[in-house]
Amino acid sequence: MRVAYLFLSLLALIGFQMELLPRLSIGGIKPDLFLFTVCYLCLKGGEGRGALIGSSLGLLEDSLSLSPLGMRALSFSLVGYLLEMARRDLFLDSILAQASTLFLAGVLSGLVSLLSLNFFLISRPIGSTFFRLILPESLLTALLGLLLIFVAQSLRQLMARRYGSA
Amino acid sequence: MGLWFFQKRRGLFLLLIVLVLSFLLLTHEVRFSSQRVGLPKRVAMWATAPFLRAIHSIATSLANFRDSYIDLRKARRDNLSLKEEVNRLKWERVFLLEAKRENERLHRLLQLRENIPPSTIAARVIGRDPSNWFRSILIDKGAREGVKRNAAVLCPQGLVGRVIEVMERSSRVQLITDPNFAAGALIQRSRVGGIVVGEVGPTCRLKFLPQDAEIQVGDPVLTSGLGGLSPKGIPIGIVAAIDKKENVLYQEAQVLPRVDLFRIEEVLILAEPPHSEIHWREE
Repeated sequence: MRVAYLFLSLLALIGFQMELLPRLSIGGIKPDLFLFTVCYLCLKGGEGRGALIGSSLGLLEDSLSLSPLGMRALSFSLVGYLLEMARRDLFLDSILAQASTLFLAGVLSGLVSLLSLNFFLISRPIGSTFFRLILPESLLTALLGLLLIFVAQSLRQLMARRYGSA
Repeated sequence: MGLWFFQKRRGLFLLLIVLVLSFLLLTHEVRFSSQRVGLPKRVAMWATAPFLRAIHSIATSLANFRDSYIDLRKARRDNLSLKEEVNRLKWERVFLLEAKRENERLHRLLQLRENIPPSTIAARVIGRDPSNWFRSILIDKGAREGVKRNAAVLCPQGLVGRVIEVMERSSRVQLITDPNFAAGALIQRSRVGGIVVGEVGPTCRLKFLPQDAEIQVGDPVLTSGLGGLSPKGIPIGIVAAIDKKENVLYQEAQVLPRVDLFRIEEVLILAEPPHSEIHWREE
């Protein structure tokens, strides 16, 4: 049952990222739902497997993309590990704080990806990649995260109210 | 003692292992990816291609349904008495509109096919690159249908890109806006040649244009055929801005692609490059 749930969740994640989000992209940039999932799972409590979660989802994104296998795995595993380590010290009570964490995670993951690409001589101009790709992508991912967290919290409150009144 | 230390630092050990593995994978990928598609990518594409195909057709139908619904809403308000009839027709219209649009697209594709001498393969787009770092699309034709690596990919509006990964029943197309894309190009009016490359963002860049070259905003840019990847004469886009600096050897131009790469649904793959210039028929 758990495997089926995991499989269906991954399919939904792939479907949203490859089919729905490109239709909503702004200037060719779309939010990264894979990064959001890594952050969500690691902040929720990765049980010491933050790096593994990040690496697995990064590998999945790499294998579905034109990017060299390992590029996102490298950056997501680092982000997953750091988020999992820091989650007890981070102030995550408000939605805005969670969205800001998501934004910073996006910037960090983007910078690591940029460094790894340039290290392997797949050169990308640092300035324009940072301002025209990493920043907008992180911002859009944070906004999407904000929306998803808000919807999830509203649903949870609605359910609690219903159960409370019943 | 050793086991205790490992358990205490399990997360860090996992991170180190994962980082080393990712680094090795990247090294292997960068070293060998130009020759063949790696096994993990083949497996991932094999497993997800049917699902993506289904999702794509559902999403397209839903988008068409939404468009049709918006068109019909005003008319329905004025014709309450015909509500039932409209509802029935609405569904019919959705399917007919979809069939009509598909028919028009395929007709244009067929016209293009007639203009191009060598054999071509028509394919549907079934997925887009999940990452923002690379620009590619996934199509539903692969090695089984005769798709070859580096083949030029076109649509009725112009050049889309080139085939970069070929799987058994699907292929990946590197779009002209991908930062690693490069092809010989020329300005149609002045016949000045350069190299068009993708850049970060939805546009391309025409590089290595001589300083004294006459370029104007709005000039059409075509493939030059140099390099042998794409045939000569295929529209790429129009010059959107000119970047001319003093004390440099070349000037550059920003090129706005002619093809709406975010909404493309069907493409034509050249099975072999033609030996003569393509005379593009305008729509």
